Amino acid sequence: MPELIINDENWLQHVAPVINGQQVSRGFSMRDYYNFPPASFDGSQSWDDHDLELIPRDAWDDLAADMERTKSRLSDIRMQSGPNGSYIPSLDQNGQGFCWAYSTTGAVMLMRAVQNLPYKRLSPHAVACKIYNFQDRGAWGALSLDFIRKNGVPDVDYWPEKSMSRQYDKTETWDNAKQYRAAEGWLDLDVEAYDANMIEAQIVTCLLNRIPVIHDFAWWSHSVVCMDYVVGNGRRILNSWTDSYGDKGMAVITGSKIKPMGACAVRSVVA
Amino acid sequence: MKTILLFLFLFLPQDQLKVIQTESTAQSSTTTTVTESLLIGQHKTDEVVSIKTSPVASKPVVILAINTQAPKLRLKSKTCKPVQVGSNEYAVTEAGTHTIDILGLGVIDGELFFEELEVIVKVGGVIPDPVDPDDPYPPPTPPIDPDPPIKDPGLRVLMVYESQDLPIMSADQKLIFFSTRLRDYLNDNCVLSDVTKTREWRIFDQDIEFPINCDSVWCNVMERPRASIPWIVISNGMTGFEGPLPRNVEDTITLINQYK
Repeated sequence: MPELIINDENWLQHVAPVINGQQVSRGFSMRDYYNFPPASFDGSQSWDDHDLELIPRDAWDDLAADMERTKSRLSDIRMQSGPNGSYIPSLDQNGQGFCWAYSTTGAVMLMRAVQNLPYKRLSPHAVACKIYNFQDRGAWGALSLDFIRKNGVPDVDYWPEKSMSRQYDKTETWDNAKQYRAAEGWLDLDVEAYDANMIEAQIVTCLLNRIPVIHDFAWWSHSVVCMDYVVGNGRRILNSWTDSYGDKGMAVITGSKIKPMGACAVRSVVA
Repeated sequence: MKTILLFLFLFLPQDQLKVIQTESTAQSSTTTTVTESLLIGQHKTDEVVSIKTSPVASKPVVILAINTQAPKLRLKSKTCKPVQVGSNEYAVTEAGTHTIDILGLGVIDGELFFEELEVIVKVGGVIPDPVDPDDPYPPPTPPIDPDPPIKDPGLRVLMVYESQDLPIMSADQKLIFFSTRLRDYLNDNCVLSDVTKTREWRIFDQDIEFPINCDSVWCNVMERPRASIPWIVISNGMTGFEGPLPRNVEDTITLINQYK
C-alpha cells in the first residue's frame, strides 16, 4: 500500500476519517501549562538538563537517507519486533478520546522493541481510566507518560483492550504494569519556547537517534507517536486507529503540519 | 586486584573540597582507607578521615567521601554513575578508570561560591587488556573467557550503551544497535527463551532500571563490571567474551560467530 501523506493541501480530509465504517476517536486537549510547566513532572527532564547533542539541520537528510538505506529506522525495527517476528500491530483507541495515552504507550512499545524486550500488547485504556477516574476525557501526552513512568501500563491479559470496567483495576493488574514502565529521564520538550527552530532540532535529533517522540497536534486534536524523520523534513507517525489506517497504521506528515503543540520523548524503558 | 589513583586538577578558591577514596573487595571483605589526598595548594591533608560505614561489596567498589561545606554536590561522569551512599559519600562500582567531575555549590557568609574538581578513579575488577590508542576497538579475535559471563546454555548477546552518547558515536557503530541486518542475525542465532519466547539478545542503556530483587540473566549480567561504554557481552554458556563494542556491524557479527 502506498504511504499515506498528510500535507498542507489535504490535511483537512485526514483529521477525522472513517475507518472500518467507524468515525475515529481522537482526544488531545491543550496542556495546562500553568499547573504543569515543562519538565515539572518527577522523572522528566528538559532538553537543557541532559547532554544529547543537537544534530545540525544540514545533516538531517543525509542521516535519514542512510537510515533508510540500512533499514535502521524505528519503523524498520517495528516491522520485525511483533508477535512471531512479524510487525508490531497498531493499537486501537476507537470508542474513547484517549489518544494521549495511546501515543505514549505506543512509544513505550517501540522502545521495548529497540531493546528487544519481549513483545506484549499493552492496554492504554487502563492508563487513561486511572488518570481520569474512568471518564472519557481528553488530555496531552506528557500527562500519561508521567503516569506510565510511575505506574506502568498493564498488558491486555490483565486489562482487556478498550475496557472501561473497574473490575480490572486491582493489585495484580498494577503489579503487571510495573514491568512496562517508562524510565526516568524522559524528555518533556518545551514547545512553548520562543525558538521554534530549536524545538524542531530537538525533536529531529531524538528521531535520528531512534528515540520516539510523542506529538500532540492542535490542528488534529490528536496525539500520535512519531517514529522517523523522513527526507524533506517529514515525520512518519504511528497512529492508534488500527492497521487499517494508512500503511499498517503509519502515515507521513509534511509541511507546516509537522509542528506539534506539545512533545515528549521516551528515552528508555525498564527491563 | 586493588588499584587506586586520585588526581585533583582544579580547586577553587579555598580548600573546602577534599576527596577521600576507599576501596573494598568481596574476596577480602576488608576496606582500605586512603588517608592522604593530594590537593593543589596543599601538599597533603594531614587530617585522617575514616569511613565509618565500611562497605562489604560483592565486587570492587570505590567510595568517594567528599569533605565540603557545599550544600549541593553534583557528580558527573561519562563512564560510570556514582551512587550516593551517605552524606557526601558516593560509590563507584563500574570497573575501569573513570573521570568524575565534582561540582559543589553553596553560599558561605552570604557569598555564592562554587568549586570544581576532576577526579580520576580506578576501580579494580576484570579489566580487559589495554587497547591500542590508535585502534580502540578490539580485533574480532578475542581470547576465550574460561568463565563465561552467562552460565545458561545457548548463545546470548548483551550490548550496553549510554543513550546520551548516541549523537557522538560513529554512524557505523551506532548502526550496530539499530540495523535490521544485525537484528536479523541475532534473531537467527541466539537461543529462544522458553519463558518469554523471545530471542536472547538485548540492547540496554547502562542506566536501565530493573525490578526490585530481579534475578534474571540480564539483571545478573548487567551487574558485571564494564571497563568502558559501549560494551558487548557474548556467551554460549561455555565460553564468552566481554569487551568494548566493535566498530561496525560486520566486526560484531564476526566476533559473535566465534561463540555460536
